[in-house]
Amino acid sequence: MVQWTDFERATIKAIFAKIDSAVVGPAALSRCLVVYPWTQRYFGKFGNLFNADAIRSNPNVIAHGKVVLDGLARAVQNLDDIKATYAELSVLHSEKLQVDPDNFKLLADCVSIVVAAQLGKDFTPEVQAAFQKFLAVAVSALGKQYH
Amino acid sequence: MTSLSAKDKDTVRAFWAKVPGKEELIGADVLSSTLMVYPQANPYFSHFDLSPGSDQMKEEGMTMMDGFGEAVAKMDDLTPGLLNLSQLHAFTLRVDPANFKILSHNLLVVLARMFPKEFTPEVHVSMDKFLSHVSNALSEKPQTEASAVSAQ
Repeated sequence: MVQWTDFERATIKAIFAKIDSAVVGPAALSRCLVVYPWTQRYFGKFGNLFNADAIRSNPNVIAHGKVVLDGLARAVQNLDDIKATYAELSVLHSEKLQVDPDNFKLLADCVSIVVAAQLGKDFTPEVQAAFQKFLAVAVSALGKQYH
Repeated sequence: MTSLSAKDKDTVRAFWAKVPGKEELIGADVLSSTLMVYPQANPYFSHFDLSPGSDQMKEEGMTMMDGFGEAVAKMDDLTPGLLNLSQLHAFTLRVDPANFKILSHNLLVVLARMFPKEFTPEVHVSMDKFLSHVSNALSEKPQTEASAVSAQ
């Protein structure tokens, strides 16, 4: 089981209390689709993803970005059992959506960058370490059912 | 050699133009993040005073940022341009190239923090491509007479 220090727990919860999933989610997802264009393969039904502007303003991307961040927020509520919390999501991503799990890390990196941009100098190395540890755990839990 | 489009190069140059004057700050932060978030990178810096804000951290951060600045200047022909740095990293420092990706990520995080408005997805993708090319150039393992001799 993952061990969290008090600092890590407090930091992760504080970040999620501060950010708006309706803002950070779409920003992170659209950034991922722009910076790592192969990820667009999973969003074939989303309509126009032709360029950065189209992606940014695509209503499906906006809606789904929030879904992704809300999913991360659920993990924050269950820090001591993220694996069980994500069991169904993991099956969904592996069997139905067939997402290459390497892509989870790419989206996680975009979430880090968007949160860094929002928090500015409050996103210290210690805060970054705690936040990225959380994202790594979430990514690992999502990949658990792939075998 | 490069798949960097003219637009990518212009974007990187324009964004990097914001850096002069802030190299020490950016470099020190990139190093701190790398050491704290990715402990596997620590052994490469074990001979330094790693306390935050130490003179060595600032100097090393500057050195790194000068390296990135050199890469920006030599963007049109990175592999020959970064030959010395590549040899240094491969044969003297002996850095596992996986760490170049880590450093690149932390550079982008610090740049996002410092320039949130300017570090748009469009700038991000060009910078990401550029840094991949820099990492590749650094990973070249260029054979030289000296390294061929020392390998015996």
